[in-house]
Amino acid sequence: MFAVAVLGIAAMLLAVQLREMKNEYSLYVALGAGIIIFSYGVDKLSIVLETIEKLQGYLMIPSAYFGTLVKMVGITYLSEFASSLCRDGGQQTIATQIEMFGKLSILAVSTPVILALFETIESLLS
Amino acid sequence: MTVSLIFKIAAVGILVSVIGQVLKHSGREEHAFLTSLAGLILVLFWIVPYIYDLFETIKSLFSL
Repeated sequence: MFAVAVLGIAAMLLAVQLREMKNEYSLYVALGAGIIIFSYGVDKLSIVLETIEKLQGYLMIPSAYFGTLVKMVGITYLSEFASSLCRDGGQQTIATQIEMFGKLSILAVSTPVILALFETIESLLS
Repeated sequence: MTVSLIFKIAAVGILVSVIGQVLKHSGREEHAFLTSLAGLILVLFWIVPYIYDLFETIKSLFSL
């Protein structure tokens, strides 16, 4: 955690410094720092995913829902990363387009879960 | 994937802007533009494989 915080502050200071001289390089520094911080987070993330998978063995949830959940987390992370970078670069419209597409793809991924929900409700009622 | 990537990018940025200023004041506008283009390509050359690795890990991790 300490390394990530120090890295983030150092990259931010460099980016601010570069913004006066050369605007685009502050973007590259931000992109590089984002990638490196994500690489620190990957091993923690895989630990969490494995424990959830083990937990899923005990509970009787079908594995399809767990896959959808993980997919949603991935889509959210990716669209958030890309849209905030576009917003850093000053392109507000591209950022909103990426976010809209992220929301749509999450909706598309979650449709089978919604269908299964309604089927169970219908079976309960009838 | 070390921290040196950020400092390398910052170093290229500072160098290119300094060289650009010097070239601009000595009247060679097109050279200044060419140096900034070269700096841009160099930084992109460094950072694109990392972006590719990032997207590969995301794809494999989240099974997208």
